[in-house]
Amino acid sequence: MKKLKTIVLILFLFQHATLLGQTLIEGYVVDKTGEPLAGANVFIEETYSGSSSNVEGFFSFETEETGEHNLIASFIGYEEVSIPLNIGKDKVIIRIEMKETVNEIDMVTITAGSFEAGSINKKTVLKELDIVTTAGATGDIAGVLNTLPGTQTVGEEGKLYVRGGEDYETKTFIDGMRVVKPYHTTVPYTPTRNRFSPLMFKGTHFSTGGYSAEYGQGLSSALILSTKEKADQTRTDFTLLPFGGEVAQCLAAEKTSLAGKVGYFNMMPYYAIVPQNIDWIKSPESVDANMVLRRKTGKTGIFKGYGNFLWSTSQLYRYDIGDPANKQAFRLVNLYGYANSSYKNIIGKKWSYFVGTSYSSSRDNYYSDTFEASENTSGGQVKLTFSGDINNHIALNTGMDFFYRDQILTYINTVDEEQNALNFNERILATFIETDIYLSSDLLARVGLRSEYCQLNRSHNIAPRLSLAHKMGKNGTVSLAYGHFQQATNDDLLRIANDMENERSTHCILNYQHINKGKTFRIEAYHKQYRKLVKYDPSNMYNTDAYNNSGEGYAQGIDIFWRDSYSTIKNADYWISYSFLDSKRDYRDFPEMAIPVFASKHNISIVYKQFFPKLRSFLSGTYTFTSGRPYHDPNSNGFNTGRTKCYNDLSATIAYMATDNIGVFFMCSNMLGINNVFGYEYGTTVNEEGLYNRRAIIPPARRFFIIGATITLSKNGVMNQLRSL
Amino acid sequence: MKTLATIVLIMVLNPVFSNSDSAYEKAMKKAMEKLNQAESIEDWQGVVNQFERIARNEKENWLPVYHTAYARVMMAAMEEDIQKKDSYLDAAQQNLDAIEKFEHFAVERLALQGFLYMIRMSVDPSRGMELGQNCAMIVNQAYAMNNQNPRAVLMLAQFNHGSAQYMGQDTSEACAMFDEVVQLLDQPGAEESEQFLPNWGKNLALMMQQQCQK
Repeated sequence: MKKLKTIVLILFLFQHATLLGQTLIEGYVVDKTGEPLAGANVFIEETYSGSSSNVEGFFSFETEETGEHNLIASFIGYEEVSIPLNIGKDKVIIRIEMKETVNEIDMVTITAGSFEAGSINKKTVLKELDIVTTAGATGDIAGVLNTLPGTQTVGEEGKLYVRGGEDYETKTFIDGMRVVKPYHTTVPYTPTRNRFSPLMFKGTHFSTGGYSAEYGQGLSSALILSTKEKADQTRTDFTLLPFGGEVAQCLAAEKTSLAGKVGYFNMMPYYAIVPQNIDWIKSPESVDANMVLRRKTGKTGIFKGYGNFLWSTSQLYRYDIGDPANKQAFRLVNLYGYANSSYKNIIGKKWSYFVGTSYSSSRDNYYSDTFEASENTSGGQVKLTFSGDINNHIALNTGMDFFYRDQILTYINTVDEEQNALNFNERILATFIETDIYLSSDLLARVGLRSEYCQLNRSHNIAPRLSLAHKMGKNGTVSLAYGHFQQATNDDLLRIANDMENERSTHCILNYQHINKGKTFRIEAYHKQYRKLVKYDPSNMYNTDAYNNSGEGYAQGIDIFWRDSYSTIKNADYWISYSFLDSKRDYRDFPEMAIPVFASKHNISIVYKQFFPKLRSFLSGTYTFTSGRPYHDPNSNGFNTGRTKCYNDLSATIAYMATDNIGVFFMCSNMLGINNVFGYEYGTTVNEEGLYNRRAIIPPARRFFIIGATITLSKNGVMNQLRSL
Repeated sequence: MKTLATIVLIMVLNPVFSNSDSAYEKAMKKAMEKLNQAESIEDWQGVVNQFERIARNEKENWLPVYHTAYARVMMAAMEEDIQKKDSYLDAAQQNLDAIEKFEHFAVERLALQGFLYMIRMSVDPSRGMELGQNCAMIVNQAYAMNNQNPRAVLMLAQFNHGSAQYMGQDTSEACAMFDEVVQLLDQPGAEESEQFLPNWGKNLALMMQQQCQK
């Protein structure tokens, strides 16, 4: 009996033995100033024992573990802390101090000279969809960017002119690779559009100056586009317009997606109805196609391919300014192809690499009664970059690329059968290195260096770039950028004088930006200094010896931007931008320093967008104002002393979702019907009164109308298609 | 004698049966209890931390990671500060991306992903244009996978109700779906954490039912 009782007693004790051998671990979690951190996760590594810190930073829990273990504290926004412990029977009391890590959402970013259309939760000035939903843009990226401060409206060209710089001073990049000839070739004084469909891109970074060392050969600015990484769903979209249509097909599978678009356009029916200022013999007709392929390889690799093809033709009469009865037929045919491929993957936890290649080929043929000309350009690029984090506060981006471009222009005078050819073969080898140093979550310094060896003029050019950004309060940023930029001069001069030195510019930009709850305010002041611009003697234009690098110039001004995305008027989004530009340059055939014809002192854009969800429709309007532009009047003294009247344009788009799959839209430019004048061309000989006749450079038609429809077919019935309108 | 022997037998055998829960199950039970009782943001942060601790030790198990994501979405739903909201949602998104490879319970992951998108959109109406399409696709996908899963039904109903309200259309179809959700969750055993599977949705469905009756 007694033995059994002893056994029972022992068993009883063993059963409750598990209650013994618990050690108490408690303490406080604080930040580096000693303030308590509430909600931090404190636990023993590789066990389930742990607890959360309370409002006073105090935590307490019991553990059965003994011996050597690490105590871990983790909390969003702070670096994880690991403390080695030797757990015995005694209570452990410990004070844990946590250091802030660079918080991705909250961290300071460089805003000087930079407009980023970013993803949803980043504090960017533009959203990805703005490109598509802005009126007067007809889905053209340059059209939207022209409503941002820092751009001058040059309506007869339709290209990007940034802060007193020529159109060729802005270079375009897709997925890191430079695009040769980003704009369609058109007949003179008819605006072009750039080739890219905005729906293929997810990231747009438009710099008005001071851009990253990763890019070069852009004296003024860089337009950096990234194609979408995530696959869309499988769908087919038809777009019908009075002058043509497009079919877009997207196939999405788990690892691969392919998006393609083919379009055919012929302006003939449209020009038959809407009278034009141009006398077309054959209205512009074109076929274009583009394609994006994405494929995930392995766990983290992404392969992307992008291709773009265009064929177009048109023919018109050009009238002599002196003698309007004298006209010449002029025909243009162009063929263009561009393809790039890129591969990105991760090495280890913190580094990634990128390899890209691109190739493009373009042929523009011009025909007239007196001459035939053919411009053939081909080019390609290979690029390799490495980027990653050296530690929590320093990021590094470095790489190299080889770029080549061959261009030949052959010119045949059909009257006397004289042939001429001009060409250049450009080869550039570049390397760059750039570091982002987060001195704190609020202070960022970006230091970069770009080195280019240009084989054409055998020059070695080093361009330093520096940017600083400091966060002011929760929502403001002050940013400063400084850098050297250089590029080969424009093609038409480079062909004649291959050995010209690269043109140079120095940028200095100061910016303040404040974004809060959809309201953005931005003000930026800049100064650009140009040196080594190419000049030539106009009486001897085709002689290499008549060229030199003695040109120079400057551009300075202030840009102001205000946007209210949603807070004030319900379902409305508007922005206002104002640019003031003071610029003069002495380049090309200028006899002296003067304001160039594309530079206007005041540029204002107002964009307004309104959603009517109950009516399933969307209205957007854009108003643009440009103060008078200079032109050269040979009938008066001085150079570029003429001033056109101011430019005004009010354009609007209305879009309506008829059903879930079908949308209709109507767009009209220059609704007020203003007779805008971009400049004047003058004849080459004087008339009876001893004066040169002139002709105004005006838009091809007073107004441009589009009425069209888009139809979407997809596997999933429910689609909110307003996005693509 | 016999009584004493029985007592000994019971006491010897007791530990074998009663302490049969592994450390994992004990921890999950505690965590699920906390989850079902959580009310304030601090409560939810505690739930997040508990499941995170478990998740760190269970690399091949989607459940603790799923519940961490769900708790984070709940924190984001209650948080007013936009930056904190977005940071919780970012962390929740990372959790969801990590369990994408577990195809078994994809319907639960998709329903929660839909919920995450909807909280993101609630921050700023302009986000609706970007995320609306993805969200529509996902909630429809979840419903197509299993139209008896209360959370799949709930998220589709929530999305349709929100869109209908925004466009000024009739919400009765969506409201009928909320009734269906409550029914599905009222079924016996549905609310008990069977093997710690997701069981949330009742509170939200009841709240939406009330809204529908207005």
